[in-house]
Amino acid sequence: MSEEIDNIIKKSMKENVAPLPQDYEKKVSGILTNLPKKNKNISLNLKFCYTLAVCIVCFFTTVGVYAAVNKYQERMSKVTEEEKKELNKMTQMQKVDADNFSRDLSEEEYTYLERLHKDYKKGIFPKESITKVEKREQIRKGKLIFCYEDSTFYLPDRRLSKEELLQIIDFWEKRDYAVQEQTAGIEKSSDNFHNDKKYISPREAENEAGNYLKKIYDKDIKNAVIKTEYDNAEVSDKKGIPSYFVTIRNKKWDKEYCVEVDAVTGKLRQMTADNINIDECVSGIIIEEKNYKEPLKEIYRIVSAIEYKACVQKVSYQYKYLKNHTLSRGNVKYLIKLDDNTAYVFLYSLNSHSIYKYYHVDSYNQVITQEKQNEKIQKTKGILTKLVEVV
Amino acid sequence: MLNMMGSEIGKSMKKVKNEISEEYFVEVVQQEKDLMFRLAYNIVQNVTDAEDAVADSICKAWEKKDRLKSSEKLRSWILRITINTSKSLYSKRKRVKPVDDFEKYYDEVIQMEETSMWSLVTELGEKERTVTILYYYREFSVKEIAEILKIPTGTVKSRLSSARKKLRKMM
Repeated sequence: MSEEIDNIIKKSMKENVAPLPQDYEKKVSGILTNLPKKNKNISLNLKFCYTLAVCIVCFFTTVGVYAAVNKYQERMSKVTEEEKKELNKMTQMQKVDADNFSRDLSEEEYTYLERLHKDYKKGIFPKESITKVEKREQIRKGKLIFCYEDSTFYLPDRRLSKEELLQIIDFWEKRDYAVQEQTAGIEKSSDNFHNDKKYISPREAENEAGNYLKKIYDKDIKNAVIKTEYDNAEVSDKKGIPSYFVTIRNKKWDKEYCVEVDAVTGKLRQMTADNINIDECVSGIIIEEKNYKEPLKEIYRIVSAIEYKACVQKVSYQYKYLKNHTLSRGNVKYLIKLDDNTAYVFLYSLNSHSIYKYYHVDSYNQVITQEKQNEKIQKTKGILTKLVEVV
Repeated sequence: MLNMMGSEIGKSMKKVKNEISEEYFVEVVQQEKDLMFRLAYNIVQNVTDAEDAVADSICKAWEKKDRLKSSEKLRSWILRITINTSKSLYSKRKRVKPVDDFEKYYDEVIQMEETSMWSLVTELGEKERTVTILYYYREFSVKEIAEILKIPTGTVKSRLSSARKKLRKMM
């Protein structure tokens, strides 16, 4: 029976597959034909990295800044503005696409380099920084030196020591970090919005996100892996929402958190708490309205943890359902109006029995208008809405 | 004499692992671009974001391909990058997109009957949708899906079984 069903699904998915969007293949081919030719080096091809980052800024208005809350992050955050400027300036001036070594690295050195690269991320650093020179004539034989003019690591003839290999890695990491930071800056300055406003740094955003996680869930981000991305979602011609999206993961947790932090004020805009092993949105759950007030206690707790002065003025919830009396996506949405007429929207999953997303909106009335519009559209698709006012 | 780090390391890498040539990289992306789009679309649920996610994934994969231990893993790795990039993009975009709204791309484009399998698949949860596409559409084995998603084979089986049950009910 199972095999029969499998065959039906397989056949149907293959036969009724929709065509790809019109220009999709052209777009993919465009990317593939523009891949940089020299990309065999073990470090990042810097110019490619830089171009890629700028391209992402231009086309997708998104840039990634990766970090972990550990010694590695601390080290990167200690790179001074001057050092960053210098690294960026030199990187852009480089005439060669990839870094060179003045002699072949032995296989032993290469393997050790790879291993140390992993150790570096865990907090094993060189005692000193690599010596850098601008021109080739400044090189001294027998000493590890990086020369900007030809992007070459000049190596001593002997086997490289642990300290020297770490210095190379340290240089790569700091350079990548400086390029990423600058790219984030380019994006911000290319925003048409908020040019007059000062942005918080990605590190500050991570700290803010960590504070919220502690306050709301009592989770410490000390040993978590953090990924921070800047984004400016355009909501209208004249308005954007500059934010940092801080994703926080810890192997010991059953949820992954993504905290959207306002890039100007550092305030929480949105929190998602995705269960790693359970789907939040599922179909087929039968409506049981009597249970839908249960999450309110937790919702009030979260609201007061975020906005300790907030006064809740109105509470309602709504759910979407199908004609067969099952929930459309297995969730209930709670609308919490505050006394300043802003609102919080919470989403509760009846499958994972948890609040998996909430966000702040500037106007409660706007949410209601939006919901009414959605209701109309969805009704034509057979999805019905019920709104229940609680307070 | 100066040695380009690339060619020199390339030689070393040939000894320790299979180097991923541009030709091979392009070949794999060309073969998987259809699946990459459908996986991305399955997560982000709109065409523009799905295309962005694929573009971003190709760039990321190319940039980091030298970190791969074996060229044999490129296919599963690139698909995993697509899934993760899409999740990350969706997580950013969903603030401005009501959770219940589905852009019924598949229905709109092909104007299929309401009960087409793809349309039913959109009613599954995201995790089930992903394994369904990988298993039924692309016909990867359970083991291969486990490798792509980096989850135990038991989890793949249970997601497939749950997806199968739901699809059977809806059919």
